Amino acid sequence: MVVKPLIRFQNVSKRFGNKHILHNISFNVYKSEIFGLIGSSGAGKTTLLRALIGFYKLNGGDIIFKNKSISHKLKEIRKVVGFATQDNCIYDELTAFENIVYYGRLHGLPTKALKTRANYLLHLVELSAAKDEYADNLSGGMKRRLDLACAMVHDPPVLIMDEPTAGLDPLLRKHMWHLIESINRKGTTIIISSHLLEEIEHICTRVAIISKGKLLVVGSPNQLKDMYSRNEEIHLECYPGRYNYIVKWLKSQRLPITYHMNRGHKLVIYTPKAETVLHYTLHLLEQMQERLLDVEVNKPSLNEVFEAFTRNDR
Amino acid sequence: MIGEIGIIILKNLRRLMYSKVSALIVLLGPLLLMLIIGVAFNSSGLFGIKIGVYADQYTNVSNQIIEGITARDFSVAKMDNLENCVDSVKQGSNHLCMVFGNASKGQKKVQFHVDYSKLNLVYTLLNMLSYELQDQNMQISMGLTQDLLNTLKQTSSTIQENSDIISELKTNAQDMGYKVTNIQENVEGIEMGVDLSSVDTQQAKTDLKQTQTEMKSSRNSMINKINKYESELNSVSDDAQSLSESLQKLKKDSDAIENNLTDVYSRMECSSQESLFDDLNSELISKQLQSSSDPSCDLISSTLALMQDRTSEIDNAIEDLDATNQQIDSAKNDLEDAEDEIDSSYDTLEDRTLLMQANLAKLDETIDTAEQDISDINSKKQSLSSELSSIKTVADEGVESIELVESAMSGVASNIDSLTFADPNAIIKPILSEIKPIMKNKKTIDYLFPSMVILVITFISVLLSSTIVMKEKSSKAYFRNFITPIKDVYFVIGTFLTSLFIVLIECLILFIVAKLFFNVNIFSNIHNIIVVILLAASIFICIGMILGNLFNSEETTTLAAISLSCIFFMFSSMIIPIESMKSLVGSFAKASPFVISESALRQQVIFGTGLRSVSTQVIYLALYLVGLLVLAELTRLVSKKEMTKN
Repeated sequence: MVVKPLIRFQNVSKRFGNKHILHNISFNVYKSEIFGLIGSSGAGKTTLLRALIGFYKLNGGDIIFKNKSISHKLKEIRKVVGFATQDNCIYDELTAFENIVYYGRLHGLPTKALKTRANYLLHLVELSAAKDEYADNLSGGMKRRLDLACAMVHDPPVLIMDEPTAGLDPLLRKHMWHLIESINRKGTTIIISSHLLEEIEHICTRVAIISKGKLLVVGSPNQLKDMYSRNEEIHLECYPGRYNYIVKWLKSQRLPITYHMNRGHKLVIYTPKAETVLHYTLHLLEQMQERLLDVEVNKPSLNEVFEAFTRNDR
Repeated sequence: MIGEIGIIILKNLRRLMYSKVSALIVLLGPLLLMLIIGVAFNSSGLFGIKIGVYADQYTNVSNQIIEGITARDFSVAKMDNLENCVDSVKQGSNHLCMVFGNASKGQKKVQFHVDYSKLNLVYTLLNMLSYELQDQNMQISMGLTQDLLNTLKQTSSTIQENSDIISELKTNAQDMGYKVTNIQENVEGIEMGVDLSSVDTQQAKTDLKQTQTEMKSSRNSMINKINKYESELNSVSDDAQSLSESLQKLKKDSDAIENNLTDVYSRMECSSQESLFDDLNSELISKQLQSSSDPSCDLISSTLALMQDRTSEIDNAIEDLDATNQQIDSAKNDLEDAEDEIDSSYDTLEDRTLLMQANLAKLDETIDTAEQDISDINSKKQSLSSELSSIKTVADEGVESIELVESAMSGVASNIDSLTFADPNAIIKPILSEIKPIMKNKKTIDYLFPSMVILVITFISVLLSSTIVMKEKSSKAYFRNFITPIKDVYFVIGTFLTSLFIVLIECLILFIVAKLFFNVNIFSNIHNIIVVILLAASIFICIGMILGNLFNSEETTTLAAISLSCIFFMFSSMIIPIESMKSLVGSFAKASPFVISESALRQQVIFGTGLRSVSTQVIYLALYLVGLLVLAELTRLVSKKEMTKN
């Protein structure tokens, strides 16, 4: 049985003035999936998402929702789509509860049901305690959750999340992903844009990589990894963490290191021979009297895939 | 729809009231403003006014004026000279300098040296001082008016006295009119239709010539006949001469025969009787002789006697002939005389004929002249008739004018007589000019209140609505608003109604404070006032929304809103009267919604009139509102397009 796509992006193009932001982007989003849009800043992710709800008019192509162009059913689209922005589109001068009620009212929800819904959403995003707090007084994570609650106030079957974890600390990010998963479990189709690829690859059913307004590839994370990378990742955390010396020494031993990077307090090494490299590394740490705090060997991440795809495009 | 707009308004209010300070300003701002302005202007006069006065010579009049000014609690300083007085105004030590004219030179002028940079104060002061001067002017006017009244009375009596002259003048003019009419009729009655063409002098000339010819012929005929008669007379005379001569001869012969007979007689003795014979040369003697003598003697004697008879007869004949000759001569003379007379008569006649011819020629000329004269006379007659008509018209008009004059004079006299006031006061103050304020116990705040309300509405509406629009635009939540499935116009209405609600709340606070603390009369006419306020507030809210849509930063929008409000404020009568502006600028200022609203509200608040009295202003405001709503929507669309970069 062929599953019909819920949303079809067909040769979508958009330009601001003479600047082309989106070039003939075509992909499908299916019901109840979490679809990820991956791209660096300025790639056109937000523009694409905003075009979906009619904030921007397209210069070419079309977006089909349930077999109808959204340009003909914009009001309906806005009724069934929730949009959680990266900017926390809430009023700081209203309380958390008031923000939800306000947007719920704008979506035409009746007052009584709205209050129940608002309380439910506050509970869902774990803001019940801050129900009567002014949004201005909420933390970044709480605001982001409140924004998500506002986006979901009308219980949309499709939820767009534009950089949902941007600016959040790791704990909050983790909490946000859990929240997204729980929302998705209730059948909500979610489209997420993010540049935090290692997070998105764990949650998204499928991802699309966009660079400079062009769609590079679409597929599940594993498909992409298999298609475009045989590297493995070694995540190493040690103290005091003289990572530059470690990498330099490993390279002097002619070990196959494809790529390395510092990510927070960790060193990430991409190599097709993870076992050998790990062996040499542990030996070196012992000699250097570095205290090993954490070590992890992973398959190549979506980051690598993304870099592989975008390298040629840079 | 109402639910959506309601929640938008609620959201806007919550946002505005989020800051406690903001809420306090919204609520206490107008309260404080009203209290400050109310306390400041809750009076009806001026205080601390200093007036410098200067006069070459202070008179009673000037002193009275100064006393009057001093009585108004104005500080009056007598200055040493004019320059010091004027300088004191320039330096600000005096608000005004009054200079009295030199009374000794009959100068009654009072000059005010004012600093027009203190515009409103100057006009207020001038009004007050002018009021003081009115008292003095009044007294002078009283004297002049009394003179005027006296003159009027005198004029009235003079008119009445001379009314007969006017009547006479009118009668004369009417008579003149009648006479002119008569003259005109007479002139028109003159028959000038003389047909001189019927006078045929030519025939007369011909007849005269013929007469002359006939007369000449007659004369010649008569002369000829006379000559013939004369000739015949001459012939007769010659015959008579010859006859006389013959008779003379005959007589001589008879004498000779007689002598011979006498001799024969004597010789026959008949001589003795000669003497006797001579003596008796009578029939008796002869008869005696004849009877006494012989036959011869007798024969002789008889023959002698016969002869004597015949001689006598001859003598008689000769005498007769002589007489005839004489008659012939006389006849000849008569003929000659007759001829002479004929000649003379003929000459005379000829002369007269010639004279007649000359006269005829002259008559021709005279006729021509007469015809010309008649023609001239006719035209002059017409001219005269026309002029007489004009004279008649003029005379009639004269009569009418005289009647008008008479009527006017009568009216003047009547009017003067009907003047009920003999008191100069009644003229100087025909209507007792008691100034009764429309509002009792009116204070400056009463006058200022409508302007202040409109000013507050203007600033609050423009600033508030522009701020709400700008805050909304700059808010991150704007995007979420945009992607909700409600119409954009709901947000516009929401913004508009939020602003309107706050403005009305502020106005209500103003009104309550004004009523409670300063007893400004508002609520008796509130239903009309609210209409004007709604219109004014709506207009300025729209202006603020337009500004909010046009600009992209809160600072610029606020600056533009304040600037525009200040422009409205400046170009109203609140600082300087609009009438003192240039006509073009004044016209624009008068058309400003601020001025129109202020004018309408002034009438509502101060005079308590209904909406009908300000219907024009209300219509203008409504038109402004419609236009600005359209403009607000257009600018919103532009702003939205700019934001979505569509």
